[in-house]
Amino acid sequence: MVEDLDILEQNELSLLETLDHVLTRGLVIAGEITISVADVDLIFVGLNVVLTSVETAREIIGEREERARGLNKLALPSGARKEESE
Amino acid sequence: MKLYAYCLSDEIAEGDFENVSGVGGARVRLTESQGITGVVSGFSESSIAVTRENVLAHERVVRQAFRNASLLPFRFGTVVTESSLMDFINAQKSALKLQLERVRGCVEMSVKVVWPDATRADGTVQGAGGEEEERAGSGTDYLKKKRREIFGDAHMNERADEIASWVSEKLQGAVRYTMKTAQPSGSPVLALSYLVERERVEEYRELLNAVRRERPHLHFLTSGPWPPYSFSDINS
Repeated sequence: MVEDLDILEQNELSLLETLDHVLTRGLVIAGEITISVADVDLIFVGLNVVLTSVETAREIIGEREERARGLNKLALPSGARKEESE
Repeated sequence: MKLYAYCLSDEIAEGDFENVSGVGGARVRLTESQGITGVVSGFSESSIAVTRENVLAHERVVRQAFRNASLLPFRFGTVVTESSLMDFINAQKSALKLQLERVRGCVEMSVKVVWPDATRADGTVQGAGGEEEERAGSGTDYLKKKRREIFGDAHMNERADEIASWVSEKLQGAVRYTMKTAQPSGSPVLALSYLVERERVEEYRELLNAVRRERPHLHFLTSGPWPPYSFSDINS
């Protein structure tokens, strides 16, 4: 369902995306939501899912960029790498 | 006996759920009033735990119904009595029918946009020329920092609005409705949801690919098709 990411990232994000949709959106009958998460305040659970979802997305993108930068450095000719370190 | 409610539809036929179990492994069944059918299963607990298994069971049943029908999914954890569900349908019949018409034949497509952050994690904001404002350690500095946080948030919101408008304008040819579903304060992240007719999903994807190419410095996380979770609230 989640596009443009590798398999591990897809699995993680697919679950977060599902939680984001299922827990925070949808038709509501007033007073009829009865969920529990180990005594944690459930309002915060819903908010945290949204924030966790976007924060995780940011982290994954950041890690991917770090990896890309690392690969770019490795791909540089040895002379260029030497210059960079000086 | 209480019921766990998954979704409402005016297009669902009997027998669609013989091979799908609901939350807690319960048998999924239908209950109908005023031409609107509720997809439900029996539920005997006082509350439902937010576990991967339960969340996926909810989503599995909604998706099964969504294969052949337009519907309004309930939020996870909706536990009702048969009579309270009937009362809800009867009291909200007009609004529900209107909302079902709104989502008819459509899927929800989600887009999260992350953009390069000009606001540092410690609250400082880079100036227009990229220079960092001075740091110090007094009360005046505290006020300066608060000012930076406030203007940083305002700047972030302006940027989010600009990106949301730009993306939505580019996609509007394939989209029936648009909704900004999340914009966490102080974060360079934006979540958008689009209601797209099933047969126009490929057109939507092509437009979205063009959007990504136009601003390659933005990161896009896209998902879908989803049942129309973001377009089911009859109070919105």
